[in-house]
Amino acid sequence: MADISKSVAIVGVAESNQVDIEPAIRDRFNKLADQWERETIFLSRSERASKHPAYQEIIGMGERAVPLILERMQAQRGHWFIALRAITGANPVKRSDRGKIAVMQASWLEWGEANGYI
Amino acid sequence: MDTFDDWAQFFVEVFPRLSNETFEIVAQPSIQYNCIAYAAGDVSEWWENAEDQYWPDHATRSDRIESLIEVFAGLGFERCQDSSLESGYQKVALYEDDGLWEHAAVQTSNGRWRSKMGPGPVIEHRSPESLSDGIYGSPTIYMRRQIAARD
Repeated sequence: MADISKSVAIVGVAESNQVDIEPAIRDRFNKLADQWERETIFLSRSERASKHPAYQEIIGMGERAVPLILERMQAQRGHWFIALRAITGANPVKRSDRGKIAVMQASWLEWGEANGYI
Repeated sequence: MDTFDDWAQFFVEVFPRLSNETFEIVAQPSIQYNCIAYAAGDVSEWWENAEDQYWPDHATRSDRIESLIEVFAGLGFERCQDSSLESGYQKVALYEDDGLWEHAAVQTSNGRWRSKMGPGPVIEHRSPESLSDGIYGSPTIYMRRQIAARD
């Protein structure tokens, strides 16, 4: 796994429980994620939602986006599974847990903690 | 969006036909389940043929409308003619756009319809056509299953 601390400037966890990340990267991510959530909120297929340009741009941010995605996941916002798989190549979700969103989120958060993203 | 008015305005922008009727929000937004799950009577899982999501084993894992028909056929639904209210039956309407499934709505006992709007709220609307001309394409398939008689 790449050393993301070089590109994301992770220096610890801020008091607000947010991962400490360069403000410009956080701002860019938040803008894209907010746009994606707003413009795909009524879509029934997460695969279709994942084709939205803002979501694709987040995937293009690479590993720098992972801590921010996991942060949104902790806040119960959006389906980020496709982006996390695309960026990291990992998939910690058991087949038997497919569709159980809360369990899937817990699996990814556990994975994120084990791999130093949160 | 915090208020019904905020949501209502947004709904009408995306689904213009809703501007001609009264609709209401009957459940708050949730990322835990979608329209297919809701129409199937499940509010604990997200039903989609995507790699990470739940899709019943009896159906082909595909985004073609035929796959969604298989989902509901496996739950005891059969094809029917239209969206009219029929005593003793529960109906679902399946929406497609260019051959791909996009949405499902379920009829209530008073003849109105309910839709879980992606990760958004559940709304009650007049008919399946209320959501036509929007991002779901059109309701093209109607299915029904018998429900237990009530006293």
